Amino acid sequence: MSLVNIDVTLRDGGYRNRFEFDLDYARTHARLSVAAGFDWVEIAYRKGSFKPVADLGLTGRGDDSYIAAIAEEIGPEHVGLILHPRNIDAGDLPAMHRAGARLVRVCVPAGDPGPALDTVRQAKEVGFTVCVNLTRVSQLPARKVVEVAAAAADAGTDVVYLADSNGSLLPAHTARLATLVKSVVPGEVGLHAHNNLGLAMSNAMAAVDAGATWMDSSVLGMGKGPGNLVAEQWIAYLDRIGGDRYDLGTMLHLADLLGRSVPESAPSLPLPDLVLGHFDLSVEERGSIAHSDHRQSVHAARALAGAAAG
Amino acid sequence: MTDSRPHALVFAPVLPQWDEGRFFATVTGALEAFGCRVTVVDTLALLEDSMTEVSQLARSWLPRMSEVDLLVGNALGGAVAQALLPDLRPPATVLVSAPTRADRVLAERLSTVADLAAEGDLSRSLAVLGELVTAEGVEPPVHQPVPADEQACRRIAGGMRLLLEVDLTEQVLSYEGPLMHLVGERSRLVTTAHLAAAAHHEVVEVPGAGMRPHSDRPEFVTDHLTRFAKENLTP
Repeated sequence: MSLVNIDVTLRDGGYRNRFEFDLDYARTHARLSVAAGFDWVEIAYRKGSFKPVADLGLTGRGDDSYIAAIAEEIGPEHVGLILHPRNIDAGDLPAMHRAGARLVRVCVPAGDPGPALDTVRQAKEVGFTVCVNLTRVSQLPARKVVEVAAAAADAGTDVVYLADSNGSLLPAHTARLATLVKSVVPGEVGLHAHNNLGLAMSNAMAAVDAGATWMDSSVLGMGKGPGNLVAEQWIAYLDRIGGDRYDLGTMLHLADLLGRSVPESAPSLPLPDLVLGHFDLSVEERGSIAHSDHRQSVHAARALAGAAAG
Repeated sequence: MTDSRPHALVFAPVLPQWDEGRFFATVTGALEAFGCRVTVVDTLALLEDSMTEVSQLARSWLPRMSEVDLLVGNALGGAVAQALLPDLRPPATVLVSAPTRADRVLAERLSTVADLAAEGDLSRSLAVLGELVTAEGVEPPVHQPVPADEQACRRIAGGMRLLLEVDLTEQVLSYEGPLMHLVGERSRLVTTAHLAAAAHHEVVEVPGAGMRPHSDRPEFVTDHLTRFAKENLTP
């Protein structure tokens, strides 16, 4: 089993601290991450996340100077960014590549994948390793997943990622999706897990058993909402089952450093996020289910999920 | 074309004769395997009879320093490396059995070796040194007599005496870069009691090893060196 691991802390963790990692921390984080055995460090969004946010911090902008600084630190072969195609223009991908990024991940909304697939084609022409992230994959019918994955493969993507943005996938569902995508694309399949239900680890294991070979995780699980697959647990697991290229000591050192340096990295499971994950609702619905009485939250979420299903 | 590999500069310990760095093959081999360009220097090459402190020897080395990405020192060489930290400010530092400060026991043991050498008794000096570098609980090797060698005696006596009152605590504690001490758990000379380390520095006790952990537990030392290099150097 040859897994490719991406550390997404600096990017997904940015949702916790408004992407305000300072450059010195980002440099050290990236270096330790590679030393611990990560293949890629996803260092930032390029020009913002899904929803525009004013005054984004370093890892929400992904400026060329930042890319260059991290590439100098860990080598371009480890530097990746993620982007929403609507946020960039034709000059961004060449500029990112010139600055020292070699992996780009393109968020593909299943509803309108066309523009994103154009971005995939351009990224391949520029010379990137390209991942397509099928966002909110838990809400997509299997047929749609197949359709978009196949189109992404035709556009030249190297990896199709199942992005469990809502943190709603169950292991069996994850395995089915991984198997499905694996059967229709010639490239690799990856998983970006969120831990709303505490199932990120189980889903990661199920995905790998079903043939996924790329895996996202974040240190201390630092990511949107309850966070992602916990990197140190994932690396410990891989080390335990015979991975010989991981350094658990360095991994834990990095987790300790992040915890001491970035207070917002403290693991948490906000109860509303558990509710969102349970009912497969996106984070945009958080306001709709917010209630001081969690019984009312669950009631509201059930109603919303029922309406969506109906 | 310039060599873009990270440069590791290694200060050697007190050796009766310069061996071109063979004493440290475990360490230099690991650093080269990582992708470093390694330079090993004979620390005592600039020793002058008038010198009584490590800082004097370090000062004589300072003008000769080129760009260093990783500063490494073993025993006396490690003390010189520590003395150079405030001026050289290397990006990363590895010290093997390098005393930051001597105590009475260490000073007495080093004095014994130095005094025998100063008397011209190289064989006995080396025999005692051989015992002291062997791990506690391990039978020291039998040392065969060696021919008299005035230069070797001068190196041993002069080098060891620089360490008798060494105290580089301030230089180490103020060093902001990453630093790893490697020291033998069963050393009869430099132990953890002779080290100083800031909160962000590492002290690695090498299980079962004596004063030469790179010889006693080469795989253990190599693992830590490689890990440290990965954490702190770009190959």
